[in-house]
Amino acid sequence: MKSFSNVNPKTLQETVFLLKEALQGGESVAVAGGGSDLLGMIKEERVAPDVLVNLKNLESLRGIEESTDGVRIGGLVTMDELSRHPLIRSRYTVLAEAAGSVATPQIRNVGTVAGNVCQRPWCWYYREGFPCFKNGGDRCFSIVGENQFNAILGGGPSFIVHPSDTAPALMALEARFRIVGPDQERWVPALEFFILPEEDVSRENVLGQDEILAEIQLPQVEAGTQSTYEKVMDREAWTHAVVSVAMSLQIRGGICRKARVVLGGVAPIPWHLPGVEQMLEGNRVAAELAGRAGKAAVAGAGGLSNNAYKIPLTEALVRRTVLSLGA
Amino acid sequence: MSKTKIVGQSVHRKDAARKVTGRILHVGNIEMPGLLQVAVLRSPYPHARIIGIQKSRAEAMEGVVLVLTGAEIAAMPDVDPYFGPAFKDQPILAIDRVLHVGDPVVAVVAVDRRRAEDALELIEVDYEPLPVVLDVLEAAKSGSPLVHQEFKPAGVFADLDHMEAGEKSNVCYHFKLRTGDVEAAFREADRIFEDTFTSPPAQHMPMEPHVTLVYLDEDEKVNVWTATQSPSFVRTQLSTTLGLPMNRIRVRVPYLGGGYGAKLYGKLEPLVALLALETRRPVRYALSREEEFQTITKHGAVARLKTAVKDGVITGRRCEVFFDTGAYADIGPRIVHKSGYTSAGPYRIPNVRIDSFCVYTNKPPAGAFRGFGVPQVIWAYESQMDIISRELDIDPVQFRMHHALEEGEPFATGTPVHSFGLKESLEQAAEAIEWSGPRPQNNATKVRGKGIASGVKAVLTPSISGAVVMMNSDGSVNVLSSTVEMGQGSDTVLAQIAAEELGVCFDQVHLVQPDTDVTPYDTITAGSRSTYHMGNAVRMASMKIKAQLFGVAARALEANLEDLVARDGRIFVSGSQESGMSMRDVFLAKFGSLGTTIIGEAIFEPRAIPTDPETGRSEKCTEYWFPSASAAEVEVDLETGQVKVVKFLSVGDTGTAINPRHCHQQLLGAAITQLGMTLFEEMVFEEGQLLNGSLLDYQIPSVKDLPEHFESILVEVPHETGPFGAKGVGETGTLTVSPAIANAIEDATGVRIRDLPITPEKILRGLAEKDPKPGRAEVPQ
Repeated sequence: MKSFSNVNPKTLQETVFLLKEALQGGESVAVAGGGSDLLGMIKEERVAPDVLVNLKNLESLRGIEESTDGVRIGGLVTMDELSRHPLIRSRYTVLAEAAGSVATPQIRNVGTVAGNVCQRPWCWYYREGFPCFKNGGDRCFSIVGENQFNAILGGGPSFIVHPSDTAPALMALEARFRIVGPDQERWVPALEFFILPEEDVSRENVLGQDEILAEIQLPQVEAGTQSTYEKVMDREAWTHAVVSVAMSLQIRGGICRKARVVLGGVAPIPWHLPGVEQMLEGNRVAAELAGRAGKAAVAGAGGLSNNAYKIPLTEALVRRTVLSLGA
Repeated sequence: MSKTKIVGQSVHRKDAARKVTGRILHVGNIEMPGLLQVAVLRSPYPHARIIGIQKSRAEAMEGVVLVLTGAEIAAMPDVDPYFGPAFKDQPILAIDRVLHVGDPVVAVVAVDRRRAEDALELIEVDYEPLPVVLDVLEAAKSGSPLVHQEFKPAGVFADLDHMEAGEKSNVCYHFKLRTGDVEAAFREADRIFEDTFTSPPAQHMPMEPHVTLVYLDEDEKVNVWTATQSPSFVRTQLSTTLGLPMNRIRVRVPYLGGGYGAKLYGKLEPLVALLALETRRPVRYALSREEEFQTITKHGAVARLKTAVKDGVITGRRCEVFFDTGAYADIGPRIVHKSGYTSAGPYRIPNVRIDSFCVYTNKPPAGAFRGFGVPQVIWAYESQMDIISRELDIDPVQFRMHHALEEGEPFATGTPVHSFGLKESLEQAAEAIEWSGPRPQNNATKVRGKGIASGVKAVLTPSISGAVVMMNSDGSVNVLSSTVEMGQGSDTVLAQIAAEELGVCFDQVHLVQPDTDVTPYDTITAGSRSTYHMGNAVRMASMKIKAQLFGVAARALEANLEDLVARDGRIFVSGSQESGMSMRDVFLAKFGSLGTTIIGEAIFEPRAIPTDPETGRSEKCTEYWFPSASAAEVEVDLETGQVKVVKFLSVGDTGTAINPRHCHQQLLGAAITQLGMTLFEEMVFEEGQLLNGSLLDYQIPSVKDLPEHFESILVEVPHETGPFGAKGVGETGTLTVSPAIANAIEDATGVRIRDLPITPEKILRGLAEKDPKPGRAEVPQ
């Protein structure tokens, strides 16, 4: 393991200044929220930062607060806090359920929402250090390898799947991310935060190396809206989604007024399904519609040698989730 | 026989309070002044020649005490650079070739682990890649690249003394069994069933990874603290490795954080002992979880079964089983032998031909794993039993009952079976799952089914257990035994046996932990053998003490020996407890002095008749059998492929249960282990490199994956020579889990899975193949 220096800034301004300074000095940086994944990556030398910026003293990045605009969630809020918070549970159910499905109680106690959203891939080839695109190499080993968990949508040239549970939920809730850099801050809709490998294979989102995902703003929930997170796992705990669906439906008088549907575990980014949303909106939620939504969800999906089973699985999960929210 | 007082009681574990309060000793907790730590550079190639090693930069690093290579070990006078329980095929560190990814190449000893690991990065090794063989069937073919050029039998175990150098091949051991005329059975059969079943390589996942600490004491004696299931073997191994007399080596074992077969025979001990001798300082090497995967695995296996049926009865069976033993044989040949002769099942089949092969490949070494290869063969024959009975439209339970061996009938080896509660286990399992009851209810997308399986394993024979029992003049007792307490409860059960025989309280018996300077030889703590073997040794040693006590008491009480009873710490004439003597009185009468001791020692060594090398036959191939049955009810989600085990029953013939609660816990714990092997666990390799070698990616069952309804049932068929009628139970619960679940899945879905683990992916594929629905999303090839 390479030596690194650890800094514990006290303010957001200091944090981004330190990042900028280190990068300008030619040093590599890493940002630790809960550190539950990062420390393992450092020990296994997937990343080898010169400077590790630990956010633990940034009190301003903690807390969940309600305002007239909705709810503000600090980037350092833990998975456990999110999954237990009464307001999140009642009005933003999909997020509470997604956060509660992450890993184990121990990891949920330290893992942060910003860290979960920005989590690096868990593809076996990447984590075992194969020279794949994500490790700076020139190919994706999963294409002809062990690809049972890899992408069926949006793949190429890398076929990783995005591992985050909370990201699809935040997209389905139309959250916005406050991103703070040394020279500016900006608000980015969650739906526009992630980028496909065909755009930039080295990263999964728009966050710059000197930027912090500081907080998340959830809009007010309109009356009649219900949301849920369905996650299929190989075992019942401590594993990523084989396929997951984050869905928010606003239903009045049996008619779907608004739909937001985002898949996890199937694509290199959380996979937004605007076509499915349009299909649902304005229509009566019933078995027939749910069946069509399921089919539409996997339109264009393609399997590698061992992951085609995820296509009917995704179809079924979308159909079931529509029906469960419409019931 | 009078009723027992302590044997048969579910007394609390001796180590429970210390374990739950974190006060138990493990090797990793031992602190020592000047203790050095080890890190090992491992091969990135599955097969390569070592051209050169540059290590001077690592040696120059501050805090590094020693950097050692295999070539340097090979040049040491009196040191044997190779070790292994069946063949001496494993170098302490790679000498000229590496044979699997993760093969140890260079060891660094430093003042702390961090520096030792950092120093690894300063070492450069030049490799020349060599041809690789990874698939067990490919490896078994002639002309495939050879993993080893020669065989050197280790010659340490009596049951392996028939091992001999064969011709050049990756097959390092071939077990054969020939009974009747199997070809004639196929010619005359109405129906012939041919199926292939596979089990992948897997890992034991003990909570405590391997760890060894070695120091030289003031007498320069080699002191070893190690997490092993076989302290006696480790001493023998180190004596050979180091060229030292056995009494210059002391091996001690505190409590293990689980073993499951991973911690048998020599593992880290030869390396760490050499490092301590070279540095003259205490040295500890503790494996990381990732290294654990590279150190020892469960054998992957391919089993081909061909079964002849005539008039609804099995008349012949041919079994070909290929065990992938990885780059080093470890105990693979014994696994192939012991599981080999049970491959056709515990059934009355007149014509049997078995060929079971132990095959080298360029993968991490495979060794013992709870069940010693038997779960892999039961997975095959119990899956096929269901395939056949469904095809013949015979009830699967009745089909098994019809073929099940009964007391005194010969096993496929010709050995008559004794204490063989197979039918009883099957009956109990069927009753508990309500086999004859109504079919479970299905809903639109979730279907339910029931499955059952039975099977048997034989205990390793011959093997040896020695015990010394020492009674003190206050009636307290020390039991000196090399049986390792690894969670199975041996301390408790052995104390119950000693207390029962000596007539003292359970709390008065103390188990001395394995220490080769103190505790006598024991073959291994494995294979469901300790209760029976060490139990018998402890009981026999206790009887010798009791004989002395009774001799004294008979004179003092003017009573006949045969009228005396020992109970509750007193010796008295049967029926008049008040007028007897306390143990203290007996010691005073014998010695006239307190603080004195009486010692009994015994060696229990049941014999076997070696199986014939050509026919596999033996009039006594084993000392005892332990039948198992499992019953499962599953719910399968037809759209996600997820399997939920709703109900599971683990049934085992334990003989007389010394501690019924322990027996239940063993049956359930073993079933959980095998539940993981059934549904989740598989080491996935890419060109010999493990892809999922972490606790996140290699999935063992979580508490949420356990069956909702999960019970065990003891079938107690006493064994005439077991201690108080007991047999072993450590592996019983693993044996029949996988086929019971697969059989239930077929019952629910009509899909037959032949390859473990049973993942949602395989179920969905099976459903798609069985019933390709129009309109279902296209499944591209």
